[in-house]
Amino acid sequence: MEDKKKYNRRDFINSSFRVGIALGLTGIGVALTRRAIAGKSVWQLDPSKCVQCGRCATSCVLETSAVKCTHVYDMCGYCDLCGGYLRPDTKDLNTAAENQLCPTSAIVRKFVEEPFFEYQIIEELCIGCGKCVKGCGAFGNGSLQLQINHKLCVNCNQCAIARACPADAFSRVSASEAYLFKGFVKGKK
Amino acid sequence: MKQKLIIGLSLLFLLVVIFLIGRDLFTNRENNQGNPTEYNLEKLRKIDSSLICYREVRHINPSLGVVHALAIDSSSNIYIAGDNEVQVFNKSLQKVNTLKLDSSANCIAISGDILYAGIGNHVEVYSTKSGKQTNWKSYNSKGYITSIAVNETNVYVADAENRLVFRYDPDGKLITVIGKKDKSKGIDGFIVPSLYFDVALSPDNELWIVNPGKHELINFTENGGFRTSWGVASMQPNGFAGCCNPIHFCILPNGKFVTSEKGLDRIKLHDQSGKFECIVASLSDPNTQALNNCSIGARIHDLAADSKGIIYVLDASSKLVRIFEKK
Ligand code: SF4
Ligand code: SF4
Ligand code: SF4
Repeated sequence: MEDKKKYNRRDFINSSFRVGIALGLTGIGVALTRRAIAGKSVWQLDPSKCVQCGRCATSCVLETSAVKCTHVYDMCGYCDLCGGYLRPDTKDLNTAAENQLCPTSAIVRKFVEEPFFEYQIIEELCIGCGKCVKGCGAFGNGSLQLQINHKLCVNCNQCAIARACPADAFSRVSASEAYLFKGFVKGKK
Repeated sequence: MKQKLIIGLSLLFLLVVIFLIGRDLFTNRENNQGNPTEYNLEKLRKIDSSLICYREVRHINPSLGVVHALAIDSSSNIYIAGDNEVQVFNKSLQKVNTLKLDSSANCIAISGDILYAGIGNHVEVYSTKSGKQTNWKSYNSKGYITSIAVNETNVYVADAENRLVFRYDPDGKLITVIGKKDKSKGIDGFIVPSLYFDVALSPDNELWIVNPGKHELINFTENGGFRTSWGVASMQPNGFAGCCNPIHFCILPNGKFVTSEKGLDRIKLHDQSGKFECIVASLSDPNTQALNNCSIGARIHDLAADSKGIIYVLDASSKLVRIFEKK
């Protein structure tokens, strides 16, 4: 009869150590894989779900939100009386600050030819409040749309705005298709 | 004793920290904050009820998944276009016919038993008795037909992409192109920022066309000569709101105009000279109707009136034809 090998304390410590290393390595592997997968996806908001509640301006972890208004020019009517640029019932259709809807004057109006105007967003001034988006959606073609700007977004594990969004407009999207525009142009900024 | 106090205080501190962390994790205080930059459209949509001079008396539910266009013939039969079909209701609101179309019509017009359907860049002609007759040649491939008005001698076709109105004879021969930009003659052309561009004929066969980017209705001769115009831009009921309005209009037997706007979803009555008279309905006034479900584009997809001046409104949101009579 063979002697049963004694399993002493040293053996126990040795095997625990090995199991610990194996579990640790597996954990690191899983974490790295998850990170690699997460690295390929970014947060984005779906403008067709957005109700312009204002939280994109106030809930981002950055001091000034990474969400900005973007202009889908292909959809724009280049209107003189732009519902996204001018306050309702503005008397004169000009660039005076009191006529502008944007609280930070982040939209620039440029004359193209009578009676058409082009509207450009100054990203540094835009706080992502969505006021212009609401005006353009109601009275115009909806060519002004909110989007997370990926040059600014730090891609938090859990986007703080996604947690606050009442419209469930946020999701992770592939980094290669990082912008979601509604209307007739997709992925074009 | 002192040790117990320290342990007790530490536990209390720990509980407070756990509570604060938990509150931060599981509640969302942002949701309870107001919106400091709110753009309150509901205020603009509110209508003084003393201005409302019509009331909704009935409606037609055509049970169509989507509604595109509306027309009424001289016998007050009501034609409602949905995807690939047109349903016909008599004046008692009974369904009497269904016409199958090759495609979905964006606009329709009826003259006798001939139905003209604006489909993409061209007009298709259907007999209400024997179905498809012919396709008319499109002006060019990029066109988008948004409105048709017809009388015994002319068929006027509004094309929002080309920003032109075409006058055809009933056999589809192009006679006149109206609204071509010509700087040498001072003709600016139509300003059509979105795909809403309407044309209608008055009971006296006067041709009226909307210039939506200029917030005006223009009266032309049948050869496209300018006669007169009316309309101003304003959020107030006496004007047209937003970048491009009105989106639809029709003319009552007494020559008064009924207009509809996107954005504020107002339907208004104007006298024969265009002066605002009263509100027919405001579909998105929170006090009078359900809220607008269309985030972009118009809730009102078409307007029509019958020989008695009853107004029919094609409501894209509820997929109903709402019928309004004077109060
Ligand atoms: S939080 Fe959501 S609903 Fe609010 S503005 Fe941002 S995307 Fe739109
Ligand atoms: S209104 Fe708000 S979202 Fe629009 S450009 Fe100005 S700051 Fe940006
Ligand atoms: S992921 Fe972070 S940085 Fe990006 S928008 Fe959301 S909260 Fe802002």
